[in-house]
Amino acid sequence: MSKSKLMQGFSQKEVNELINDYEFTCHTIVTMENIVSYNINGKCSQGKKMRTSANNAIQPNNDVTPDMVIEATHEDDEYHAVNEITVNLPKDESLWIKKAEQLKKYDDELTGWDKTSTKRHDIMLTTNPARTFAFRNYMSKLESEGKLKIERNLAILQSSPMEQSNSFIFIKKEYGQITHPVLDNKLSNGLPVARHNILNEINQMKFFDSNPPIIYTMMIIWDHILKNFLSLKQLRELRGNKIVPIEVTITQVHDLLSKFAPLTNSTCIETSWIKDALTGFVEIGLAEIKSESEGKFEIKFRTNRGKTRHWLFEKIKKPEKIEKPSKTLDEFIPNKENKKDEISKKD
Amino acid sequence: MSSKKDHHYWLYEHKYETVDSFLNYVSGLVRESNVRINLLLVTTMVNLQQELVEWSPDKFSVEIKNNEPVFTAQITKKVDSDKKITVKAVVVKHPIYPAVYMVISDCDSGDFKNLVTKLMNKHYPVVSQIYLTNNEMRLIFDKLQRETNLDITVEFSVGKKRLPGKKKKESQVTYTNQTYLEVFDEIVAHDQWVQSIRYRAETIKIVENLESRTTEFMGVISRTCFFSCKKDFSPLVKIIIPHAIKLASVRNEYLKIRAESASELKPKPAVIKFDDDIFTDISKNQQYVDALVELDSCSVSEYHTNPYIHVSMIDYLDGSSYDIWVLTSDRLAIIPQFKATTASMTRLVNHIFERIHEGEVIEYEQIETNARI
Repeated sequence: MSKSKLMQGFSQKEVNELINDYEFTCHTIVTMENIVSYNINGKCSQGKKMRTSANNAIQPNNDVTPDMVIEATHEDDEYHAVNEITVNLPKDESLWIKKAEQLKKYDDELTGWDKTSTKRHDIMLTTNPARTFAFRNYMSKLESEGKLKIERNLAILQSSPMEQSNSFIFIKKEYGQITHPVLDNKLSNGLPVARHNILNEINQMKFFDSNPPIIYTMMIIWDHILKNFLSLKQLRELRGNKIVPIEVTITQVHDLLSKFAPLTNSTCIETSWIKDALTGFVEIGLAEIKSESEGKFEIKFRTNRGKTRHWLFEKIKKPEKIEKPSKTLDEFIPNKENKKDEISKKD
Repeated sequence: MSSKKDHHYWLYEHKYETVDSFLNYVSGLVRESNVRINLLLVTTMVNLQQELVEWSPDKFSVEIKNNEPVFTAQITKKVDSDKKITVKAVVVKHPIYPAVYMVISDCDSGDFKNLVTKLMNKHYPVVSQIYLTNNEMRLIFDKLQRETNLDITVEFSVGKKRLPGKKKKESQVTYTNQTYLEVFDEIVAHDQWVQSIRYRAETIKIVENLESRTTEFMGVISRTCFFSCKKDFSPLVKIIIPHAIKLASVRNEYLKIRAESASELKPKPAVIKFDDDIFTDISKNQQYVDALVELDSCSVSEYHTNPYIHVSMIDYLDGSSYDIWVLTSDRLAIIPQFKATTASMTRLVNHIFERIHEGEVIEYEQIETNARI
């Protein structure tokens, strides 16, 4: 494999942006959970499977998994909503139809709620403030052209970072109606939640049910996971700048990394994400594949003095040793096609 | 008092049945001779004698004589293929704080640092140093002055200026004849951290309108709990050390609880609160992250550095790891992950106090936000 191929398509700037977006999405999910819990004593579930009806316009009689299912008791009845959280909705409107269809998929008599309700559920889309107006117009256009119409209440919310002396996540309803009056009122005014006040939650939830940037997973594995496989004797060997081999399997890493999955969706971290990250270490000469069938890798662990992200970037540019990689680094960076996938997360 | 050879027998060879009998001997030795005693406090959760017997780092060898609670370690370090340096040190288990040991020697202070302190550091994290803050050092001097009723004058202080963004730490040795209060005020005013202070404690008499000063004892107090003394050992062992242990142990206990929570799903955050809103100027965030990176044998992964800070850090010395967050203008939170040692957390917190700003560890609590929207 040629060195130039390794370098192809790699952009540090893009990786940095993807990591920012990924972490911001995690924080937005936690913030929304906090708002629902604090203001209406409701419950949010991630990864909850709902069932569509035979009349579903997009996917009849099928399981769907909205990013967030909201349930709360209100005036002797149940309030229900689903919330799609897509903070990185791309600028290119031609990519939005999948998102519109995804929302339409939820515009149905879904089953799977904890308690039944006499009312229809709401549908929410939470995105960045630069897209709310355009996306509302886009949905109106689909409706006026007779292509797609959402029958239920569709509320479009913005989530944005707000920096003052404290760092906040600010969520505000920009368009549409929420049938829960308290939630509607609160979100119409906009709610800032201090990140410090949800510190334990944002610290715990480092993943949600969308493929993270590989470098992000690699950094977490390097700092928090691999050290669990080292004895004190091996740690002392590291002080002499020695390389200490650590044999790990995808399953072992997965078991530990699951600590960082959402509490209501503890199985959302996919083994393929871990395989990609461990293969990334192979690509840059920090690991070897020991057994493909067993998913076993040998990490050449060593002391890295400095900033790990830069260190990995440097190794991507100039790998220590090239084994036979099963993937190229082109796959580290989602290209346009990957971005399309990103906005149409698995459901 | 007896010759050096004699006092070396009584200091290093003789078997003492109790800690008090050994400390009494040292008190007499210091009072009646010109011997300077060096003393390092270390903390460990294991039997230190056993630890020193069971493992020696590369280039070091240790021979033990006598047994806990007072034993002698003869430490030899190979410096070249044919050159070795040897020093002796008495290791004393503290009679009140069982996790604390006092390592005592009359050797040259350079040899003490290169052999005794280095050996203890090589045993990290099983053995770790105890750190004091600027403020705690000042409190120790307050107590020393109050209890001895002597005048404490600083001969010189070794301080380092916080220079965010600059890798080189600027050490500054300041010779003064000022009171310790004046020296600490200047240190705070110049945003420095104190490494060590050499002082003398004097009685002042006015004879025929002339001030006459007599030095009762002198010594060094350092941030890493290295002490020395001349002329009188009692103030060191009866006032300075107990107070230093007491001050540091409050923070250590706080960090121990956090370290032990590392394996929990939501580990307990250690929150450092600063008096000033030091994180208001977000243009300095990168400098603060760079300062974190400077902690020896660690690496830092940046997830976000502007406007808020979120990094993770691994301490390669013992495999502790953390998430570090700055989400408000006056607080920094450290959250251990999977496993962390008290030694590592103490080292990290001391580093933050040195390189970023001195603060106070507090319980995590939600803040009043008063967001402007």
